[in-house]
Amino acid sequence: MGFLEIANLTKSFGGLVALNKVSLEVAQRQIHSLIGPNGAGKSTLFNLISRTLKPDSGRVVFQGRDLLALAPSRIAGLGIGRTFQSVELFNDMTLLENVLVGRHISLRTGPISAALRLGRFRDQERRGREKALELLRLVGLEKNQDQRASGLSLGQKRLLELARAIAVDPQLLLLDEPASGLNDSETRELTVLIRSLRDQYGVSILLVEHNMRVVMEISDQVSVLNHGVKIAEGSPEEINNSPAVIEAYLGSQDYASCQGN
Amino acid sequence: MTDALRLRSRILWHLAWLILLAGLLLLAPKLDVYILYVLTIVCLNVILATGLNLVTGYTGQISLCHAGFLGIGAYACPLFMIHCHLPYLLALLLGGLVAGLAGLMVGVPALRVRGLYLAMVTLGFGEIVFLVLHHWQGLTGGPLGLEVPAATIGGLVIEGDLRLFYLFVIAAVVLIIIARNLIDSKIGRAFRAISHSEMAAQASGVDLPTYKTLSFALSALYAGLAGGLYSQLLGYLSPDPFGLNESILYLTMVVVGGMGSVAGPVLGASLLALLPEFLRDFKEYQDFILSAVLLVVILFLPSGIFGLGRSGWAGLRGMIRERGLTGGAGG
Repeated sequence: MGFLEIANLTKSFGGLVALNKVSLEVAQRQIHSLIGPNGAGKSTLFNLISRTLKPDSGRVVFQGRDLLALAPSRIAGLGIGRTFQSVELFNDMTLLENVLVGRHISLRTGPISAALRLGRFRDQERRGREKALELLRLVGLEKNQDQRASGLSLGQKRLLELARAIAVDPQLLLLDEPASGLNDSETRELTVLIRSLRDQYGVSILLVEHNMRVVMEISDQVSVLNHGVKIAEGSPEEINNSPAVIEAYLGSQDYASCQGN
Repeated sequence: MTDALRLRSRILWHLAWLILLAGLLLLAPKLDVYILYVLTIVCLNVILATGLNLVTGYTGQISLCHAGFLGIGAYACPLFMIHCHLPYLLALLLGGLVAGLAGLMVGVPALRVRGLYLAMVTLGFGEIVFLVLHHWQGLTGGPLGLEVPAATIGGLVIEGDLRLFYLFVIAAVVLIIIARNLIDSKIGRAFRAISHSEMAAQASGVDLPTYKTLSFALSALYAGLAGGLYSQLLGYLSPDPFGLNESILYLTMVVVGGMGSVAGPVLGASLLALLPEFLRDFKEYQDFILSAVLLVVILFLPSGIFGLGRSGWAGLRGMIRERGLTGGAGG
């Protein structure tokens, strides 16, 4: 039994089949990237796994548990964190509070002990803050802990979102185009960070990314989608030399420019 | 350094609240009966606005039925005293819980609808409460009214304007502190997270049904407790103060004062309770002026008067710091 198993996942929007019987498997402690031209169905697949969308048919099983049977808010509790392509932060809250929301499940306080600030609440809160601060330090934002999230640059926002996703103590991280909008040095930092998440924390990562350099550099496994169908899978080298992939991208600005880089 | 700054600002805030409170309590015996009455109303509005702020300001769910929750508490409390012979404080608490339960019921449709539609649902609920208070004459006395028994707390009869005022002030202080504590906990953070991004809140493990209904229930509990206090102030209940107009007024307090802050609703509630007193000479223009204030705030001050004060203060500090820096560079 695999770590994350996706079997025959199908989703259509009206007449458009966004995803057609896609199956793939993410192994433990691996960085698994999902690539493909625009409109290939990457984000759809991603949103199906994180339960933002409902599939027409198929199965998503994480460590033996059927994800499709669970409420979206239960996903985090299983150890799956995610970031959003469009960066979804709690803008009026401080950086520390944003990460603390990620600690939501692990903070065990009821309304009464919170309302009266009982010892249990203080203890939990202190530990939560320590952990949140540690995560801010990990992404290099600890100096801004009391700043509001709205004041951050896009690169910092993506890092903060990552910190919040790590706060759920994930075994699997779903990262939706984390490098988009980042400059070269920010992208390099992010690459280092993602790799250290795998190597030091043992986290598996499912990565949707347009930046081919990032994908080829850090992936253990790459799956290629085109028109809602998986057309290739393998190591970065295999994908780089796969005729099917080259054909899918042929003439596409995307790949040509990335190869140029 | 940030820790020291945070500590200093927290101490300043606490000091400001303490001075305000001590001033109120010490001055009260010397105040004119009428002014005391107005201040008691201010306390009542502060409790209500603080509760409404939980659901509307923090969780981002509109409610147009808070006068209804106030009414439920206002009737339930004396009814518990009359029919179950309960002591006042217990009846007050139970009345608040009944209102909280009603809030839970309203919170359930809030899971399916949002924005304008939620406004309609809550408006409808408020009207239902109003009609029930009006027509269930066997229980509420309807338009004929219900006489409220005088409260005693620990052998002390709560009668006279001063004792009533103290009761209201203490309740307001306790409830503001509890609201602040909740907001600074995982519960309050979940509320705020929901109002910013439901998707991201869910991805962090925040269960939307639980926290949306909890926020409605808490908010209604506050209104219900305010109602139980209000019944003592009124002495004689009729359904009139629990209609849609009042619900809109309470919402105005939160919006004008500043949504999503502890001090905002306190400011808004005080302002909107005091404003009519200052405008006494222009009675026919009162509604006009109130509406104008609301419009100006909605158009120009998205975070209310308190938000304006805060950003003004931050701007001033920034300016001073900048001056200091350029001065240092010059020297």
